[in-house]
Order: sequence, then structure tokens, then C-alpha cells
Amino acid sequence: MKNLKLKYFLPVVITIVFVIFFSQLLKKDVTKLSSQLIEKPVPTFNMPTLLNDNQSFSTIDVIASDIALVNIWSSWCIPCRSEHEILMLLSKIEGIDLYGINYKDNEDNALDFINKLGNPFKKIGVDNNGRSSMVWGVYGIPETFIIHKGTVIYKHIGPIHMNELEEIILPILGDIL
Amino acid sequence: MNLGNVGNILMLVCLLASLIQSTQLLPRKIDIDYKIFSRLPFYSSLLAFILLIYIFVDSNFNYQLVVNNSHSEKPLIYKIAGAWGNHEGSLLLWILVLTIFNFIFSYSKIEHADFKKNVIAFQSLMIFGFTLFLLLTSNPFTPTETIVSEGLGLNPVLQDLLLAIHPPILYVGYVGYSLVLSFAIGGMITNKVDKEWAEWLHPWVLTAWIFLTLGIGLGSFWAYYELGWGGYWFWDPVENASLMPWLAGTALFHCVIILEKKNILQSWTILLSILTFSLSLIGTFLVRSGILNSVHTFASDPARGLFILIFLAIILIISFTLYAFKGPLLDNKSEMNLVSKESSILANNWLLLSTLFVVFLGTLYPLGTDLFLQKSTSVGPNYYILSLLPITVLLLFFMIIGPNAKWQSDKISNIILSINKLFILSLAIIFGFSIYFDELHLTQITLLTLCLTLILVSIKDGLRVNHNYTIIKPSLGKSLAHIGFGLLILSVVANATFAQEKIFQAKVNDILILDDQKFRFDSVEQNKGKNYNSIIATFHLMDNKTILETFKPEIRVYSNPPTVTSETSIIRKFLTDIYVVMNIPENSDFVNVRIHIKPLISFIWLSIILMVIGGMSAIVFRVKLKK
Amino acid sequence: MKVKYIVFFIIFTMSSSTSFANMKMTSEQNDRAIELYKETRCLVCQSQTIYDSNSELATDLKLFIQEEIISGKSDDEIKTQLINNYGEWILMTPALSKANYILWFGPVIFLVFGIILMYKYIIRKNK
Repeated sequence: MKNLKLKYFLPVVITIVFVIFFSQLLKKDVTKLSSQLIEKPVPTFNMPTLLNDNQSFSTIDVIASDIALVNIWSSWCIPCRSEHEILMLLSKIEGIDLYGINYKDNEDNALDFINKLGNPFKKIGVDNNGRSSMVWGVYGIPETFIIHKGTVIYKHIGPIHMNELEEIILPILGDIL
Repeated sequence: MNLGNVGNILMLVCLLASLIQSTQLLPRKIDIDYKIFSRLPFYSSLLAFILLIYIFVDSNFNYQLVVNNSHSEKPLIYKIAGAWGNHEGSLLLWILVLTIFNFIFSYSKIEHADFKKNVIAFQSLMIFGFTLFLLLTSNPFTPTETIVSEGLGLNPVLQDLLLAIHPPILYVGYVGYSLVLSFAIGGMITNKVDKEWAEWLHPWVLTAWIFLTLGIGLGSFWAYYELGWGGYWFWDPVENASLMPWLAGTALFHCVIILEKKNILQSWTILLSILTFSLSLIGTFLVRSGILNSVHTFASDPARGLFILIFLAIILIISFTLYAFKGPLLDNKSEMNLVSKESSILANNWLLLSTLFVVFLGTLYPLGTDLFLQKSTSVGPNYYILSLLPITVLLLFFMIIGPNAKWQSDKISNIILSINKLFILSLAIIFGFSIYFDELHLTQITLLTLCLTLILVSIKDGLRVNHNYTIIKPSLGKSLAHIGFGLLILSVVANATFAQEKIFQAKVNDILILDDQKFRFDSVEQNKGKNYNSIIATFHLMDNKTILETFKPEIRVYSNPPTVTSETSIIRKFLTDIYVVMNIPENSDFVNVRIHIKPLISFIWLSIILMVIGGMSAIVFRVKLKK
Repeated sequence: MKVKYIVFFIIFTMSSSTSFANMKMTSEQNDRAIELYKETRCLVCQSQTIYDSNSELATDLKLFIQEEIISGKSDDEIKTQLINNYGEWILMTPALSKANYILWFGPVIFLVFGIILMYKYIIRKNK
């Protein structure tokens, strides 16, 4: 008879399992898709630069840095403007190299943007048609990647707000600096 | 005393009255008059809802909800609809529907006082929970923090009559299953889960089903006409969230019939009763918690999600724990034969649940892989179609057999005799079509033959039982609903097989050809609507020199909030829809036009109407028969 | 957040000046391309395929697929590259990989489970 009783408890057990599952889901923000690149090496890319005419910006640069931040931006992107001062702050931290990728932009506008708001970047790659940035899995700018010793450890979608800087970015950097 | 305070007081009344009523669930309690405490929440929620509509109509920007979701220039009807087109307002609507069902049930003539009280008490417990949720996290009467003179405007995509009535209708179905759950709880507590219980439950299960079917159909209909994506169902998580209770509810309804007739399957029926509303609750959770990404999701908040989850957990754990203890005691011995009406219904029960399982799995799988494997997957339509194909074939098969099998025990030979002629006729017709149309392969032929057989068998069944036109039996409803379902699958398959579409880059005076039909691009004009500017293109379907049809797809630019929409131009003919959508690329001298030729779309809508009418006639004539 | 999405929406609904049929492909290549478009999810309007979507990103992805086809890559290679860049979710239909077994075979197991349950209920009870 005990056997008979046990199976009737199955629905309660299943319910509890699902409640736990859903509570775990609540903790994650699922509008931001997990990046394919997390825990993987820096993707292979090579692009011309905005300011240094004879140089290129490529995977080699990013791997050479111990800690690199790659930020994908453009002059027509309004949130990129608000994020820019945060990037300026980040560029002042010792031990971090900031790189930018100017995405689907016009060179004059991009230069104007940098001249007016400041240049936090060690190098700025230029991707006019969005093709080179595809390897980063870009789908909505701005996006920022944190790379430690050649491995992508974090992807931030959307502009970095001050609270996100304090609560997410700085702690990550603190761990690896 | 401002209106917001009145609203809050009304909801407090609702909260307290429902709390008091729910104490009737306790073994030791003070007896109270359920008539007062079951009806008071309805009156106060109704008044609160009317009040909410009023502040929207009045464009009262002292309230945050009105500011966020309305604008003084919105047409009146969309101001009204704006009241429930948001999280807080729709939550109030949820509560209102919960109280409506309790209210109506309180008038029922069931003489088993104990049972009745427990049903009302559990329903009240749920009303209490949702009202608490509203007051604590999602109060529609929250005042604005700063003084605002104008609202942020309603999304123009939501300014559509169909879409405005879709939530209330859907909710009556979705939330209606709450009373079904209360019935299950009441039945378990009072140990009354039998034929009589099933008879009492029958109209409620039917009513919720009818509204849910209609609600889902309306949503699908709207998506087809408004979104311009050419489809009517996208296996979007929120669409799936409404489909899941429908599948469970359909299975449940058929079990209730068995319980009524044969007094067996008590615990299974209770299980399904709990499951159906659980799915409504899970659906609500998925949509409002922020864990899903979809066209439909409201602006969400994990704190709200947590509250819904806790509420969901409490209700489900109480219900399923009660089931764990009472379940083993409920069942009668069954003498069902392998070949019988009951076994066919049971088989289809499991097939419906398998469908539910596929939809459930498909919806939650991406969430699971993201959480456990840190991998993002997505589940597109192909998964559902491939997985559901074999299930649908079997489903149709048993729908043909079931109504033609006798209760308890029947012979295969008898069943075959009653359907073989119509089956062969269907097979011949579809086979004939397949010779003429080589798009029809084995899968389609199988499905279409089964669908046609189902339709013909159901027609014959309906005529046979109702040949005496002075007394129309409830089984007419069954025939209509089954015809509807057969027609639905048939139309979906035919549409998928024969639909054609093509994207053209067109300039004025071009002639676009699709499926030997010629469309002439005649002009592009600018236009100004009430709250938008638009560009309208004119296409004419030509037959040599005569104009057969005119299409005017539009691009609209709204200012408040700034959005761009694409309005489709659809010409509906009896057998086919022609659907034209336009998109204007920047910096180009041409227009992207997409023309779809979609056969049998109208039949999809017809089939849903048939199912709804079938359900309605089952209730109406059941009532008449009783008298 | 709302403003950002509105800006995205406006920018991404008006597709860029490049349309997707401007590369020189044979009819067979074009058919292959269209099949791939229908299999690829649009990142911005996630319920749509890039075939259906008018967003800028959808256009970019279509161009990417065209280039890959013209340069001789197979359908599988193109899909793999897309997965490497964006993740498995970019494909509309989940692959039949080991990890996805539960997705594809779960329903079958469920169905069989039901058959067993029914057998026990109907046939054994009658004995």
C-alpha cells in the first residue's frame, strides 16, 4: 500500500523542483543573452584604426594586454555618449588597457565625438560595415567586453551606468588586478 | 478624499472580505454568511475597476499609471482599453474576474452547503492573495511623484479594437479555471468527487474553455492582421503560456464527461483540475516576472516576479499536498475495456498532455540551458511542428474513433463499420487532390485525410443524434467542436503547404509577379492621420487591363511615443488571403514589398468560431435539457 | 532604458541602404541563402527570422551569409560560424546535439510513459 501512496506525492515534489528552478531564473536577468564568448579566447579580427593611420587593431593587441576592455561604440549612438565619461574614468585605472571599436560610423563624426568628449582608448578600431565586429557577437551597441589574459570573462550589453560600474565592473576588475 | 484613496479603500475592502471568507477553510471556524463575503469583493473590485477606467478616460495625470500609459489625445476607446493594457490594470482585471466567478457561483443552487462553502472559501483565498500582491507591489492608484501635464502615450501598435478586447476575454478563460481548482479543493475536503460533483463542475469547465479558446483565437487573429509578419502563430513563449492551460483544460473537460457518465477517474480529474489553473498561474508568472523576452511581456520587475512565485508556490503546494493525501481514496474501480469510448478519451487525454509537454519543454528549455549550461539556445517553430506531427496524427485518429465507440466496451469491427465509408471517401478525395497538386506528400496526405474523415464523421454524428429538430441535444456542441478542430488542422496544413510569398524590390510602374498573378505598383503618397504621418503605396492586382483588387500597404510614423509601424494590406477572399507588406529602406529609390498568397486562412478563423459555438451550444442546450 | 529601446527601434526598423539581394549569386546559391535566412534568428526582433526582419542587423547577417556562400562555404560551416559568434540561440531550430537530447527525445519518452501508464490502468485492472 505504501507504494500506492508515494506516487500521489509526485506532483508536490515536481512542483517544489519547479519553484526552485523558477526562483533561480529570477536571479538572472535573461534579457541579456549569455555571451557565447565567455570563457573563450579573444576572437580573431583585424581592422584599421581611427587615429593611428599605419597601425591596425587586432587580436594581437588585446592578447598582449593583461587586462583589456573592448568597447564597441559609435557617434550616432546616444547611450554611448552617456557611457563615455565612465570609460574616461576606467581609462585612468592602471593596469587596464581600453580599446574601442567604432561601429558603422562616419570617420568625421567619430573624430568629432572623440575630440569633444575625450579619448579613453589606447587604440580605436574602425569597422565601417559591421562585419568585423560580428565575431564579437555584437547585436546592439554599446557593448563592452572585459578580457583577462586573452580570455573573455565578461560581456556588458548596453551602456555602463554608474551603479553598474560600482556593482559589477569594478568588482570584476578588482578580482583580476 | 481623492479618487486614488477611494480605489485603495475599495481594494482593502476586497482584501479583508476575502480574507474573512477564506477562514471558512479552517477546520475550526466561526460560521459566517458566505453570501456577504463572497459578493462584497466582487462589488468593490468592480467599482475599483470602473474607477480606474474613469481616471484613464479623464486623463487624470495625477496617477502614475495614467501618465505611463495614456495621453490626452488618445481616442476614447483606447483610453478605456489603456486601463487594462498594463501590468497593474490587468492585475486588477485578474482580481475582478476571480471575484466574478465567486460571485456567480455563490448564487448556484447546489444544495451541498459544506462543499459550496469550501469552494467559495478557497476562491476567496486566491482573491486575497492577488489583492495583497496588487496592494503591496502593483497598485494602479499610485500617485505620481512629480507633477506631469501630459502622459507618455499609449503604444500605437496597441491601439486596435481587437487587441483591446483580447485581454478581458482571455482572462475570463484563463482565470475562470480558478473556480475549477476551487471545485477540486472543495471536493477533496468534503470527500465529494463523484458523478454529481462532475455535473456541477461541467458548465464551469466549459465556460472557461470557451473564453480561453476565443481569447487565443482573437490574439492570433490580431497578430495576423496587425503585426505584418504574415503568420498567425509564432510559438512565442507568451502565446505558449496561453496554449498550455487550453490543452490541459481540453483534457480535463473530457475527463469530467467520463466522471459524469461512469463515475471513474476521480483522482485523474482532480489532478487535471489542479494542473490547468497551475498552468494559468505559471503562465502569469512567466509573462510578468521578466524572465522571458517577448513581444508581449509587460515592463517587469523581479520583485513582482518573486511575489507571484511565492503565491504560486503556496497555492500549488497546498493543492497538490491535499491531492497526495486524498488522491488514493477517491477512485472507483474501472471496468474499462481496451476498445471503448473511455479508452479513446483517455488516450487523447495523454496525447493532449504530450502536446502540453512539448510546448512546456520548448518554452522552458532556453531558460534551462541558460541557467545550467551557461549556453543560449532558442526553440523555433520547427521544433514544435516536428515534435507535434506524430502526436497530431494520433490525436485525430482517436477523435474519429472515440465518438463512434460505445461506453465501456466495444468491438473494433463495429467501429470500423461505422466509419469506413467516410474514411474511404476522404482518402479518395485527398488522394485525388494529391495527384493534381504535387506539393502534397505523405505527411500532408495522412493529416488531411484524417482531418476530412473527422469532419465528415462528426457531421454524420451530429445529424444522427439531432435528427429530431425539436430537441437539440448537447452532443451537437460536441460535433461542432470536433468539426472545428478537424477544420483547424486541415486549414493549417493546407495553408502551410500551399502558401507562397516573395520579396520584391519595386519602383513605381513595376509589375510584380507571384504565382501567375500580376501586381502593378501604381503610386506612393504621403498622408496625415490623427496622430501619425504615413506613406501609402498603391498596388493593383491586374487581369490583363482590368483591376481586380487594390492594395494599400502603409508605413506610419507616430510621434507619441516615437514609433514606426508597418500596416499590412490584406484582401480576404473566400479561399485565399492576399497579404501585402511594405518596407522603405533608407537612401534608396525603391521599396521592399512582400506579397503573400495564403490559402484557407479564413477557414482557420472559421474553425475557431465553430469550436466556440460548439462549446456554447453544449452549455445552452444542456441547460434546456435539464428544464 | 525605455528611451534606449525606442532609439534602437527607430534605427533598426529602417533598414540600411544595402538590401539583401544585391550580391551576385546563382539561382541555386540564392535558394540556399534564403533557406539559411529562414533558419537564422534576428537578434533584435527575436521572434522573427532574419528573412522576415527588416532590422539593420538582419540585413548585416544576410550580407554575411551571402559572402560566405559566394566564398564557397557549406551551409554547416556557415551555421557553425554564426554559432561561434552569437551562440546556439541564433539558429531557429536547436541542433540534435547530445545536450539537446532531452529536448528532442523528451516528448517521445513522455508518450511512451503514458502508454505504460494506460496499459497498467486498463489491462491490469481488469484482471
